[in-house]
Amino acid sequence: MHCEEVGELLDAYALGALKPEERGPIEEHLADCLRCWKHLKECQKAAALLVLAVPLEQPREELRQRIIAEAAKETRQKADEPGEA
Amino acid sequence: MARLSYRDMRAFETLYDRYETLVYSTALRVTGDTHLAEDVTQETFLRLWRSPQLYVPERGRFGTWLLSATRNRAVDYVRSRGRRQKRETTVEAPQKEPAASEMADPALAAQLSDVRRTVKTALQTLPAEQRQTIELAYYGGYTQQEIADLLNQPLGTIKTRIRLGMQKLRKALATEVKEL
Repeated sequence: MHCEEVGELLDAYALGALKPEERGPIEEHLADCLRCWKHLKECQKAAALLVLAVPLEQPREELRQRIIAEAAKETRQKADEPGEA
Repeated sequence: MARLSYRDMRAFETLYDRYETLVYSTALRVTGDTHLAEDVTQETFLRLWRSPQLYVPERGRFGTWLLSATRNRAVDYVRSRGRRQKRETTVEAPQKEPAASEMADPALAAQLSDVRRTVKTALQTLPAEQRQTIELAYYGGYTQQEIADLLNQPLGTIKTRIRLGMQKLRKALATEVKEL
């Protein structure tokens, strides 16, 4: 693919809107083209900011308890594994 | 973050309290389902607890990285279940967003509120069809072809909407992009 073709698809690539078979040739091009790679980074940063536009909603308090308890359980299990201090 | 590497539970709790609303809201926006959003939130935080090295500071700010990771995980969830989020076409505002003072970390909320406002305004100023297409791609996890099928539009039209819409967003968010 040429830079021009790739450039037209980088926004879609950054948004995750390309099929795997469409991504392959772009990634091959990006591996050798610093200019397009830099352009992709700009597209990815803009796409990443979109996540900040979501409406805010607070999770249930029970979720906090569940996650903290699970993390603590995993830590205890790991500590009990042979070889762990 | 360094304290997480030492399995510091207090550090994990602090991190959870800071980001729970943002992570959960992101997961909910993508999945459109409170149970799935909770599962995604749990997996996102536990993954970080198990492997804090997944975050590489050189690649950008922690908050943006965490929320992008949440979005990607949520899209994987929705895809793997063959389900589609219900909030496909618009960014719905809830009845009442929690105010900064109501969030577990008001300082972080206040710090992010300016950026959030700028991003929301930038999205709102796009032509409706460009905004809808970008939202379907990013929050819905749809490919260009799927969006074309969904909206009954030619693939070329969808490609153009994404390209033009994102060009405008990059321009409107140039300052914020530089700071990432």
